[in-house]
Amino acid sequence: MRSKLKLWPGFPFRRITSAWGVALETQGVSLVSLVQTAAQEVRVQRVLYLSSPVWAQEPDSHHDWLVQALGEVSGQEVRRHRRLVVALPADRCRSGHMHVPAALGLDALLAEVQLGAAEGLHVEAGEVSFDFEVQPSDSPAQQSVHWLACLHSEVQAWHTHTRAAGWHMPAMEHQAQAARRALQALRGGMHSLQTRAHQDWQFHWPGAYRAESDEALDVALRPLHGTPAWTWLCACGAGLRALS
Amino acid sequence: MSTAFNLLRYPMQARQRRMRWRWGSAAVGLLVGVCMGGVALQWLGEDIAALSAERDRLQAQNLQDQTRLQQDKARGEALVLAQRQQSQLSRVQQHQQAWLRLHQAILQGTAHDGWLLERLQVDGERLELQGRIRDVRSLAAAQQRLSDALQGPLVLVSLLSSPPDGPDRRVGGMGHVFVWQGAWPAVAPQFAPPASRRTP
Repeated sequence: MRSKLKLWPGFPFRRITSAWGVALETQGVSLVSLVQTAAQEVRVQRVLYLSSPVWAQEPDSHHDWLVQALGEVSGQEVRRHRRLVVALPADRCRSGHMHVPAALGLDALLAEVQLGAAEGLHVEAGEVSFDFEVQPSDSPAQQSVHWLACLHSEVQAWHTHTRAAGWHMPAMEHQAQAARRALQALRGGMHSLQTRAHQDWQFHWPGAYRAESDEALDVALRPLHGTPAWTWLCACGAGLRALS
Repeated sequence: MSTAFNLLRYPMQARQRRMRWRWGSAAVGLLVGVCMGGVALQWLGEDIAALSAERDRLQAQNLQDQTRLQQDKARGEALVLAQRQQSQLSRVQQHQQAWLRLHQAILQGTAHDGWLLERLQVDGERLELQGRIRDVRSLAAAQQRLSDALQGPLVLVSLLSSPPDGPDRRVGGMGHVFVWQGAWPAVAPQFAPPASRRTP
């Protein structure tokens, strides 16, 4: 969607009203362009499914090809709408919980999480990208940390290629997280998911809906794993995050 | 509670945040430094301009004072010179009056008291007068009258009696030669030469 007012290329003087979500699969990529149509409403503007060429089958070259394809299909986008969020499949990420002393400082906590993530991915500590969340714990002397990690090389490659192509990637996340967001924001909930084509899905504006627990959402989403709707839902969830 | 993990956050975005904070702080520090430097320069410039104006004013005042001092000095010298000239003129006037008084007194003395003037000598501030009188008893009265006329006492320093058959017989027959001395107003040497010997 091209902005009608353009004072300076890429300068976000207006609210972001259009963005892309990307859900990676083994042999292809699902891309969804979301647009804000009215206040508190987002709809799917464009959907694409791109099969990886033979030369880009390897995960390390996936991003290069995809950014190039994105540039071709959305060459008319203004710079501030060239936003995308990538949702990584489960086999490219690791997550876990750990308990650390509550008195641990931020730097020490970061180091602990990084070491735990490196151990989960079986790589060196400097080769992981991660994020974590401190959750409430029963013991006052301990704190529970939930972390998510992937290879730093993949994050760095995505970051480099998206920047080189003029795109902005504010986040990379896990597909389950994107799917939860999309399901919560989907107008009509599971009924729309089952009765409407993914091109016709409509969403609430990110944040303008009632939050549900991850467990309840995971239970609702479990039957969708492995289906095309799961991939589209993940791409839409990533697009919603890019809009927010 | 729904989580919102972002795999870009650590270490990439954290590093970017650190770099952004460093560069931002440096830029803000630089800006603040430039602003403070500019304000300080502005303040110093105003101070220097004020000091320069004060210096120029003082220099002009100093020049004016120097000129006034020179004028005052020249005026003072002219005044001193005028006073000295006035003093000299006054002394010359006194001198002339003294001469007039002396002349009149001698004329009266020779006419009434019966003595003759033989020699008059003025040497600096000293007047010496030599005369001849017939009657030595009237010498004191003549001396007193002449002293009154000159406004200064005359002192008899010499009195000689000449024999009747002496070489002075041909001069009226007066037999007593006297010498009077008294003070005489002097004139400053720079405006008038010292009084030389004058004889009638």
